[in-house]
Amino acid sequence: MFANYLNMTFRNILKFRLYSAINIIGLAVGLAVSILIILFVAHETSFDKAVKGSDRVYRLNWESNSSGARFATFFNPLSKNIAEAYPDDVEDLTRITLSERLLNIGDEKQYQTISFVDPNFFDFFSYKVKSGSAETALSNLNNAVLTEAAAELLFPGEDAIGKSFTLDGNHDFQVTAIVDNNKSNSHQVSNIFVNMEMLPVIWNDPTFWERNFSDQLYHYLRLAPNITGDVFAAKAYEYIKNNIGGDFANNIAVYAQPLNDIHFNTELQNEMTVKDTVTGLSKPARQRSDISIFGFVALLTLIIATFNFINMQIAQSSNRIKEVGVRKVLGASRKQIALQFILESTVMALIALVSSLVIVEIFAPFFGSMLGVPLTADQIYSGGFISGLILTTFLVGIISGFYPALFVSGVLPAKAIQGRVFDGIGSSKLRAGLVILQFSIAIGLISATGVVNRQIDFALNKPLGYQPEDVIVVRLNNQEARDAYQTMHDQLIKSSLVQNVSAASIIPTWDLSDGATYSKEGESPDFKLVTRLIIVADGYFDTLGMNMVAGRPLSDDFAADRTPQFSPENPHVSGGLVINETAAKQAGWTNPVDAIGQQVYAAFSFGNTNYRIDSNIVGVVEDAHFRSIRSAPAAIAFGLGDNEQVMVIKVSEGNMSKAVPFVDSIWQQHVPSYPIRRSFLEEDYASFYAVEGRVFRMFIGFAGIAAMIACIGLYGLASFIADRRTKEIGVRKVLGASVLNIVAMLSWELSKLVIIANIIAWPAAWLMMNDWLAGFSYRINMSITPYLIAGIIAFILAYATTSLRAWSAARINPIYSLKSE
Amino acid sequence: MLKLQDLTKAYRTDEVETVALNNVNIEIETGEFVAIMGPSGCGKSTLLNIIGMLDTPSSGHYFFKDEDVAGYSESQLGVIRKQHIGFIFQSFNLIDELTVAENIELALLYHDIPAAERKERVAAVMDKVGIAHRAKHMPSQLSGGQQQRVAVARAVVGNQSMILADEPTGNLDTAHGQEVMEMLQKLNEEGTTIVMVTHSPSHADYARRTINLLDGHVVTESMRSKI
Ligand SMILES: Nc1ncnc2c1ncn2[C@@H]1O[C@H](COP(=O)(O)OP(=O)(O)OP(=O)(O)O)[C@@H](O)[C@H]1O
Ligand SMILES: [Mg+2]
Repeated sequence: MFANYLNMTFRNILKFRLYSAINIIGLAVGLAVSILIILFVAHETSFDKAVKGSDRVYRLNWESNSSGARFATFFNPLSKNIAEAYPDDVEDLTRITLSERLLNIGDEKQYQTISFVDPNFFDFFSYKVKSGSAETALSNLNNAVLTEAAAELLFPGEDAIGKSFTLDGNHDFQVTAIVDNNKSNSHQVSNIFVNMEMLPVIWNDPTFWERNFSDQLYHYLRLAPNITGDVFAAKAYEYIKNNIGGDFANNIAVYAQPLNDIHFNTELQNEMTVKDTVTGLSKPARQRSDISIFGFVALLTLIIATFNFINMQIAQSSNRIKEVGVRKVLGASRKQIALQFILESTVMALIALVSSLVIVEIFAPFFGSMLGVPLTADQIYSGGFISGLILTTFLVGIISGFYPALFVSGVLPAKAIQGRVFDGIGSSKLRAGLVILQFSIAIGLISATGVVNRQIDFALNKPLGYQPEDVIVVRLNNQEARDAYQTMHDQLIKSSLVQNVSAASIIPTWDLSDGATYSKEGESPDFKLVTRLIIVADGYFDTLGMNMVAGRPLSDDFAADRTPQFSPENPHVSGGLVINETAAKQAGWTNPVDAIGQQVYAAFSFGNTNYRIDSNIVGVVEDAHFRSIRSAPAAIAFGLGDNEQVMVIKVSEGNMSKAVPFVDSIWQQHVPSYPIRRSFLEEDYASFYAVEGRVFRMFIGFAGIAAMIACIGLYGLASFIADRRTKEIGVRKVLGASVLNIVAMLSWELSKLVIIANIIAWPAAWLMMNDWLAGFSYRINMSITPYLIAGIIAFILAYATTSLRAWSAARINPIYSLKSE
Repeated sequence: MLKLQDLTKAYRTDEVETVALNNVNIEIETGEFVAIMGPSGCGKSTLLNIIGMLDTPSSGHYFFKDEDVAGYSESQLGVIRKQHIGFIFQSFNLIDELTVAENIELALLYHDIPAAERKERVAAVMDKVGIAHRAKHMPSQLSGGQQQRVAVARAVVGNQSMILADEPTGNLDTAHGQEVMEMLQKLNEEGTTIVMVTHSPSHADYARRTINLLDGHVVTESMRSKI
């Protein structure tokens, strides 16, 4: 019996080959798209979940009350004191900081990111020890731990245990343990670990642990189960207030950032780098709204593919009435007929599932590389995922078989044999409901795609406020280089290959880490000029192509521009200042020219000394996006001084290939002890934004596929409606209706449903996109255009499909269509 | 075998009510061969469908083997139908996706008969109607006469005691029509009750009794004298 059903199933699938293929492909592609997106979403939302007790792990943050900037770092020595003060609340504490150092193995020199950690770091973050013993590995200060990837990179093909390397030319370390690699869904990117106690030595900073206000470390706490992060943060602040107090305590707030928030927080300053320099993997933080919009598309795609499948099965069932009649005449019960239909659609759904898995197998790596996330299809087969999929598929099969089963199997055999039941299949209301739903989803998807596309175009094409083209970035990452800056500058600028050379503490694409709060003599206390601070050398704005909107750039031509370094011996200094447009607006100078000539000062006390820096605003510079285009540009002040962390060289057009070896040779000449660490600003910028752009192009592609699947279902429904009315069409023709009349009539009927679908889809999509756009500081104005376009596409589709079907139905000689009774 | 008492069938579509059968009284004995004749639209097919339990009467009684089935539900009717009644249609109504053998086997499928026995019985009946050499063919590859022979085989393979045939020769040429009639006659001689709707007087002559319908009424019943 069952074998006969199966046999019949395959015969039917083959008989309606084209139809079955369309239907199976539609579901398979829909499933594949949803699976791929779900893989991505699952990967992103699983960040750091593998850490033991991850929901109790927090990272300490602090916030500056004056600037409102919040930092991923926390004060170096304080976390330990706080943890010791509340032993019942803190189960464990671990700290890390990353620092790029010069690493030698024998004569071979390379820059590597070294992570300074507490010895319990590996246990805290659930690393697996591959060889050696991680717990005791860092007990000796000259020991080091490597990940497998780092071991392979530094000591290829050898056993790294027992091997040594040297940092900065004079600190030797011996590898004593190897741990597994960072998971792709862990925010950790460290590969070479040494003991945190080595920091003061390597940074040559003996008072490192004594300065309560320095914040170079990331501090992670595992709290006891009975305390929340917020409660603990309040306690931590209480500790600071009681034990340190003063201006410091008044100016800060303390946060306990949940571990699982780290991957979704794009707003923190001093955030840990997301690039794993050993594996090359980048793990950019995502906006939650991006992830949810992706999840939403996955869900919609699944729904649309399912509906599509159901609609097609219903449409197809009208071709099966005679067969059902015969079977019933021969004694088939209603249950048996229903079973046949359910079996058929379940088999088709399963074929679609298998095909979708094949598609996913093929495309997952490609898709992953586009998104910058290592995705493999393996993840599908783990845990509940595959069972969920199979269950979904069965559900889809059963539901889509259910409707035909219910209606077709209930048809009286006498009627079925006579073919009198065509009009009776299912209620027309239900059918209309399905059409409306399918159209609504399609319209929603198309309009959302349109909005995303416009916004991404807008964001990616928005002027950055600086020109990254032809700029070489050279890190001045050691004292020798910093000392040689002026000499290198003078030599470089003489060359015709180079247009401009400058240096600074920070350049675009870097984190804006330092801040300053300015007051103004004789102004009300409301006056506010709280900025991020960048120390630049002469020529900074020219080199980076940042335009002045008022006044002039800082320059060594004006002796008063330079702000000397303050010190206990020299606590009062003064100099020129350039602020950006956002800063000028914040201070109330709506017209940038108003800012020129204004005198502001920053005053603070440190130790027992009161410091004061007087600044004369000489210029206002255009806003530039230092970080993500999504966030509003920060208020920034630029001072002329000596804090050259990075050199920027603007190369004259077309000379890049000659300029690079020239810059290298100059470096070699003046900084012989260190290899050059150089990049191109344009590439740094691109790696910053390209992923974001790609992620959304991908989104658009997927939404497009989903919309296409929706169209298949629309075609199926339109065919069904036209088929149902073959006879009516015949009669109308006999009575004198033209083919065009008939096409118009049928199209209008479907159009009514499309109008309703628009009314449902527009507000829903509008609300969703509004929400998503809110995540951008610069966003397009929501216009009706994408919605109109989506609506028009839906209309065209409705007309095209019905016309096509109605046309062929209407062209049949009425004698044949009438005989179908 | 069966008895219809004051049986009426009315179809209601939107506003109009069509009375297809009006107070019909008919009795058919086991082993009879009855022809039903009458002009188009007089209710012949309706009558046959009700006898065959494919449709239910609006009022009146239908005694099948002394059991009044008039008020039975579709599924109750289905159980009786599949045990006792076989059908032959003017338009054959074979399933296009199944082979000849599979089409015939279909009639056994809903009967809880083991596969081996099914195959045997299908083979036997195909021999009987002379279609064995076409077992693996699809219906579309057969002539009309051959298709109707498959339909006959399908109607009898379950050992049904009664065959209802609605214009079985309507789509066939004279020679093939003759063939089918002879087959029915042979079945009747073997004991199968046959009720057949036909427009052809010569085919009606195969029957022992002819019932003439007009506008849903039985007008005359004539017995063939020679037997
Ligand atoms: N399902 C139905 N719905 C409405 N009216 C019906 C239905 N089936 C039959 N009728 C009507 O009942 C009447 C009898 O129809 P029936 O099919 O029994 O006629 P018939 O004698 O078999 O005609 P023909 O020789 O043309 O086959 C006709 O008027 C027909 O229109
Ligand atoms: Mg008829």
